[in-house]
Amino acid sequence: MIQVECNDRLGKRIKVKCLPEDTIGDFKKLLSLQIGTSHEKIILKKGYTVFKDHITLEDYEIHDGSNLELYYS
Amino acid sequence: MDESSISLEETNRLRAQLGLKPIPVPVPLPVQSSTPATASQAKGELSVDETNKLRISLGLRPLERPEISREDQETMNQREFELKKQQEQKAQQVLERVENTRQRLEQKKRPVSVLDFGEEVDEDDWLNKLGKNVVSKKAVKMPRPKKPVETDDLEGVIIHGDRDGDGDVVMTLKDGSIFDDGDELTNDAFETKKKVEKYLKAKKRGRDLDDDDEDDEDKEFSDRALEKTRNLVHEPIGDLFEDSVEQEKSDYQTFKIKKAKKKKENRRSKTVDVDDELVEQLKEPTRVELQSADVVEDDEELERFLSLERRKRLKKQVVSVEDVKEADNPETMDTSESFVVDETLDFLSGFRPVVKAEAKDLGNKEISKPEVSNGADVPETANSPDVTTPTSSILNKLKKSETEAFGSGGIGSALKFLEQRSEISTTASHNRRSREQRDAEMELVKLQPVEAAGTEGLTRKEREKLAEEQREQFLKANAKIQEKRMANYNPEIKIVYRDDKGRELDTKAAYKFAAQKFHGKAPGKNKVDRRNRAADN
Repeated sequence: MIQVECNDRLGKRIKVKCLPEDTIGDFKKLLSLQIGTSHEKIILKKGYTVFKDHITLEDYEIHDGSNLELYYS
Repeated sequence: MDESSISLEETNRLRAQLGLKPIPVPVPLPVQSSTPATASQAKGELSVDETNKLRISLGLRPLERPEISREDQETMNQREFELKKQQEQKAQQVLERVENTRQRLEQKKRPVSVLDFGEEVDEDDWLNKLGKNVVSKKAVKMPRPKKPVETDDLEGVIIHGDRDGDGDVVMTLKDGSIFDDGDELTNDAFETKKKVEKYLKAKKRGRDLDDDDEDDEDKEFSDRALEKTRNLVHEPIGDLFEDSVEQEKSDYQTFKIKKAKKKKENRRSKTVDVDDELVEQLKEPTRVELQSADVVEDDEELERFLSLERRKRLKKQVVSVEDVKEADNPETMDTSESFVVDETLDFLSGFRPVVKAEAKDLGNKEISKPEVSNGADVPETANSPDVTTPTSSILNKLKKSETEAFGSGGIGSALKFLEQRSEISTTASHNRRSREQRDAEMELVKLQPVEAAGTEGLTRKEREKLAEEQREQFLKANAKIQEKRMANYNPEIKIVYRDDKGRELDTKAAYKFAAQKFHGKAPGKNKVDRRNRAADN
């Protein structure tokens, strides 16, 4: 189990517990349940990389305690 | 900054909702080796043991474990042990307190005997009160506390209604203001009972309770009243408070009942009305029958009319067919030499003869002549273009062919007739088309690709190749024909250029004129005048 932190720089900082083998899509769903925003409207970024839904967290080298940028479309 | 994170259980619940596999809950393992290892694994680091294994496999000296970590572990263990101890002690204390309170409550619930009471009172007091009734009464009945009892263990907590409790009593916190010092515990059953008693007394006396009565409340609480109250307690409490509840209830109920009645009545009346209407309608079967009869009669009339019309039309058709037969009959046909203008005849006359290329003629490169299917000896007018057939002869031929064609009757003969007609028309329109043209056409027709002649056994590619070859051949032949046709074509062409005023210009002047027009420039006025003058002269 890992814990990943998402920050939208607008006042939300959410820690999501997940598994490294979860896809970004799954992660978004979990996140959406925590913040109440539709998972389809969530965009996760790290720098200039926009994370794609079908790729797993471990493939993106997202580990325990990683910080992701949270955007809304 | 709103920082939020949810617990593992909640996360797992959410994951189950989403259909994801739950996150395995980490099982607490012995502290010594597991925790640092897991922590290091999560960070992507290796534990000391794992590093040592690797080092040994590489033939290096294993790393020594730092002693500080051991000490830390020992201290942690110590702390945990102390914490556990404290928790146990607290639990023990709580249990003891609970036990004490229970014992005291039981003691108070126990019926008080005369001896117990006597122990508490001094001897002198007892002697003084010996002869009086009050003493005996007091001795028999235990004085009930007017004020709520305060126990030692439940400090600051006021308990109501403990006097009539038989065994385990459920106590609840009484509602009160937050500024009150102590909490008040009450029993629901006791409260209701108290209310009932109060209400009953008020009803019995028909007046408000005085202070004196309140004092003697316990004394006057007879068995009879108790029985009544018990019976009443079993009933729903809402029924007892008639003053407060009944009015509202009654109003509401009556209103509802009235409404319901009205509705029912309305419905009934409506249904009755509908039924009445239906009955009335049913009572007048004559009307309905009359309507239906009318409709039926109308229909019959209409049908009769229609059938008559149909018959008339049929008769007409039969007559027309007969007329046609008569017309077809050569005896009845008008044989006068007058022309009849007919659209169909005009159309049919436009037909060209059906040309059939004979395989025999292909070898000789001769053009086959148009065959006439009726086999009649048609003079070879095609071969003699100079000879013009007079209209009278054509008409005679026409009559002859018509009589032949329609004498036998049927579509076949009609077709033959048409063929004849077309032949004649070709002979008639011979002057319009040159013989060379026709020859060329014939040649082209001969060269037309013959499809599906021997292509059944060929593949698609081969068929395409064959078609291509045929097409090329056809084009070549066409080009040759065109060349032949254009062999004698030598027209005289003279190009004349003219200006706006229609004067002729030579090539140079024409070029100049065109260029100036294109660029939007014009010569000067003097120049133009000079030119005009020159042209006029």
